[in-house]
Amino acid sequence: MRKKSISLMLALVLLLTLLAGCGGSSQTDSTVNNSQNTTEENNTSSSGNDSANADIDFDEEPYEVHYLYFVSQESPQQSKINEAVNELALKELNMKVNLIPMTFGTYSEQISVMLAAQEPLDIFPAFSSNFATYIESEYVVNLHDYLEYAPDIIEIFGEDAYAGYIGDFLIGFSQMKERAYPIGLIVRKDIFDELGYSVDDFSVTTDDYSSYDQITELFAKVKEAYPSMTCLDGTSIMALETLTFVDNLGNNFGVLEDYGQTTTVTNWFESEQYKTFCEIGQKWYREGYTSADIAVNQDSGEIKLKAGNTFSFITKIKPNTAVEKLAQTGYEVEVIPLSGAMKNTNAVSGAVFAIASASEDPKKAMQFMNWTYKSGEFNDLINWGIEGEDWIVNEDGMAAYPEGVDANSVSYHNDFGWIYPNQFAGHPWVGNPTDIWDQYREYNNSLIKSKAFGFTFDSRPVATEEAQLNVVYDQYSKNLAFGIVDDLEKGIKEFNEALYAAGLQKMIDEKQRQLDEWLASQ
Amino acid sequence: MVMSKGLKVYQVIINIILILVTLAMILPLVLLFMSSITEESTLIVNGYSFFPEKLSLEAYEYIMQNATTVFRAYGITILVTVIGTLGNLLLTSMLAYPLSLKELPGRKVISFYVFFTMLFSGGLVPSYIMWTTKFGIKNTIWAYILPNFLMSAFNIILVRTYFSTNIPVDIYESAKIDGAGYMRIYWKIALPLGKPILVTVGLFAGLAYWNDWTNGLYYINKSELLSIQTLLNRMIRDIQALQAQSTIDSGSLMKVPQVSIRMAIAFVAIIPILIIYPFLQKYFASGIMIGAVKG
Amino acid sequence: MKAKLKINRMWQFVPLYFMMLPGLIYLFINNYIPMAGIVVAFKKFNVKDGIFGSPWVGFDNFQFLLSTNDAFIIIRNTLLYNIAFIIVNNIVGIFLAIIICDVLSERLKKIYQSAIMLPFLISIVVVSYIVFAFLSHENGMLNNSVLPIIGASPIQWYNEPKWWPLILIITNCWKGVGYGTLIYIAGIAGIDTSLYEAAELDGASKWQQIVNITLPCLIPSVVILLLMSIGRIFYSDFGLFYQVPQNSGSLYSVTNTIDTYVYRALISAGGLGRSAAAGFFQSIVGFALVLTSNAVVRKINSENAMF
Repeated sequence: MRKKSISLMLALVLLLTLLAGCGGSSQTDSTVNNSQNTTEENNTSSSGNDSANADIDFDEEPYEVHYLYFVSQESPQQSKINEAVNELALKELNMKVNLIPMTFGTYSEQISVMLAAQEPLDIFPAFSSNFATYIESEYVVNLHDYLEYAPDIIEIFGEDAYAGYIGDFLIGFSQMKERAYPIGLIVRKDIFDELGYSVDDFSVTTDDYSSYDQITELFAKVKEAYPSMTCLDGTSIMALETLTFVDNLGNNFGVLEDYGQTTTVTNWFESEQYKTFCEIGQKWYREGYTSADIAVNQDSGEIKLKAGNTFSFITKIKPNTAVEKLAQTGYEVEVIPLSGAMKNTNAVSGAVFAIASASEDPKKAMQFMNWTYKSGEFNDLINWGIEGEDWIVNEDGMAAYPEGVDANSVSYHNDFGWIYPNQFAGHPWVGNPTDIWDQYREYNNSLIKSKAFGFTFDSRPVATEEAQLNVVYDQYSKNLAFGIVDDLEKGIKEFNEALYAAGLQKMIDEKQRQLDEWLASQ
Repeated sequence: MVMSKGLKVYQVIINIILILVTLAMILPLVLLFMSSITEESTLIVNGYSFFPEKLSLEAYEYIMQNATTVFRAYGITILVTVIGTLGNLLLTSMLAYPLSLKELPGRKVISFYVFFTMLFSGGLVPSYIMWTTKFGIKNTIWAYILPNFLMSAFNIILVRTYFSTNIPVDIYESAKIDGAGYMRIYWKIALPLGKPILVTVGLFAGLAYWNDWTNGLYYINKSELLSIQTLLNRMIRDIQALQAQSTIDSGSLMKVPQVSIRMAIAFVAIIPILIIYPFLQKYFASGIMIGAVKG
Repeated sequence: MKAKLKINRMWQFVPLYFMMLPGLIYLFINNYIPMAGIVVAFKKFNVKDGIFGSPWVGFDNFQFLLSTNDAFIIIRNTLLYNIAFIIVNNIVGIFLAIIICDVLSERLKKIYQSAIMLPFLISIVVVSYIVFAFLSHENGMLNNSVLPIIGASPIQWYNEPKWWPLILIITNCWKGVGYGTLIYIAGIAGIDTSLYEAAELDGASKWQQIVNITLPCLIPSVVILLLMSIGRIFYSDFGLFYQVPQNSGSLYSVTNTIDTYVYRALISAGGLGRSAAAGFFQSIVGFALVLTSNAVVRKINSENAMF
């Protein structure tokens, strides 16, 4: 029994690495259609002027919605928040709400048994790695049948509303956040400046792989000046970032290369790009720039940087990464982009809100979900707590702590906007630039869109192969990416042979077939 | 008592061996403790060491911010462990004793029934469904006590074997001749004579309850009902999750020492046991069997 | 008359059956009822049809485990490690039990008994950190302190498969030997001391006493523990084989076991059916092996058999 529990705990770690990319700060914006969401207007949660509300019967018994959502930690004020949400929901929807707060630490285990035991549940967050299992086990409802009750969601999201389709099954709706996973090198600003560099000196791009030598030179300089410092540490490097350079169509096996600008499914691990990245990793390792333990290290780059002996690490970036890393590590940093930014289906629907098949009335659940995307008050309540007690609106229209309350004494505070329905309907937290939303809108509009955007691969026909391929990937990926092996060419060859032996060709063929079908139907 | 030279040498040798073994067992715990009080950056840069360059209690400070929760969790765990262990000992011995009697009809079948549970298991989900829907233990203290740990085939078979090999049949015979029924024999003879194995099994059961963090993980989400392992386990995972997501307002987050806190949490989990251990020691029997047969 | 005697004979056992009832009921509830869930291994589970209504799919769920190239490696690893663990832990356990019982000082005896159980308190995840403290390439104690002393160059421990069987056997012994030792101590404590006194009077040496009295008296415990270990022979300690080697890919050939394989495989391709199938596979093999070994033991000495 014990082994199973540890294994599930580690499933959480994997979940978190997926989320590390999703983790946006509280100001990430959506794609389009938010021009009307200025802070002032968001205080009034619009009611009564859309067709969804016309269906609501205020005379019948209120329906109780079981709403599962993430919190950063358990709060003594939870029941107060629940009451406030209840009041709001009763007034606007004639529904009662049972909020089920859950921390990331217990989510994996509890959700799997809750779903299997069909415990009362209407709405919950679901992650893409589980979609196939949820659909096959019939844990979730096909939202396609209830689209008429989600007019606001469709309006807010635009085309992204349909990113959750797997074949004919609409599994859920995403959250409002950034829509891409580019990577960058986070460097210590003090050392960087001292050596005379500036971010503009660097333009690293996949159009010209020799541009990565700029980083190699940087490391060389750092090593010269600070011999005992580790240049690169953490848990990531280019060849491991399968969400960044290619559209991986749901899993790493069979991808659309070059930021999804092709419609032919190929094996990334046989590509020149992959080989080049591994070679770069190997060079860095052999020159002593990378930490000697990096292939087995499990501590994040942030932790390493915070300790003071690391110069840089590689991670997924977004417009305000520098500010975020300062908060997490205590060091000022500069961000050197190492890739382009691509928008693919997974970037949108990596995490969605789904309706559980245990829901007694999916239509009502859908109406509620629609409301959660529309209501600024709801988003503010579950994110910041009770207005006046846990937060107030300051003169710039941002949310902030009230007089006398701070991070340690506040009783309810999450800052989880990136995993809540629509943080932009609510108030952003103080400390962000006031025009941060425009920055994000620009950013999201500037993304390279994958040709397969909107297509979600249904992995059920090749589930056995997927299972076996996972194991092969686990075995080889890190050592090759960090260049730990003696003979890189041989290593890559072995890796690919093992992949094909585990059924890679079948997976590629199935993906191509489904993709072609989907393209034809567009 | 006069010891021959050979015996003296033997004593010295075995004590040396055992001291080395004891050190091998204890030193990693010492390392655990030392790294929990090592300053975070030193820990990351220099690795774990018995003689850290810089000390710091920040990990423990962070845990003690939730002092009331921690102490309540201790209370819950102690309660669960005591009830569970006593229950386990009672049920186990009551099942093992009859099984140890060769004359019991159906002995082999029942032994197989017991042993079979060690081999096959329906898995977590069917168990969960049964315990929550039929017995309604979710979010109650019974969720810690009832699933899995109240009895284990392993312990039952151990006790049964002990009873059948270490208690000579003559004792039973003489008792029966004296007119004692099975229940009396159980209370007055089997249990006292079985003390070594019962203490051992009690220790196993107690440790299993103390260390368990899985029952709490699945069945409990009310924070007032967290046991110490469940609480600490959550603390670690939530800290990791908080690190993974980004936030502008992470002033308090920066203070969380990620690496040393894992060690501190592990240490906090075992402190009560380390304290209670010396008191439990007197129950460790290196017992001498009473010569009931001779008497 | 004969019938009445028979009833009388049965009647005397009634108190015994009553005693067993609570335990048997608990086992039924906790273990047997959920066992029905095993059928999921052969079904395509969906929650609407439930465990019993879901459609049968035969051996489909077993494919990911058995048709892989790694099947041989993971089975071999699981099996060989368990055999090694059984041998090593029992020999060390019996040895420690004997010498602890021979220690004259009561106080020291108790200290030793407590010490061997201490590793039990540390979770395997923390053990993996401690092992890392020894084996890390950069900061590890072995590379930095021990190897220089004997003049050897630093080893990349997490890249060299050849050391790991030894490392894992030692770690597993360290963590688990206390269990068996305590059981054997209890067993030795139950041996009638008059046997030893008689042997001494006859002039038997220490070694002869051990071989002729102690070991034979421990045989029932050893056999029972052995049979139980055989039943679990296809299961491995997940934490030991996944966390302690830090999930290093280079070591898979010697650290991949059935349990770690299942975990890695089912990260995204999960579902109740497949994990149930893996569990079923492990159980059925153990079951077959135990039945066989128990039959063998029963032939030799039917008292020692499990059932």
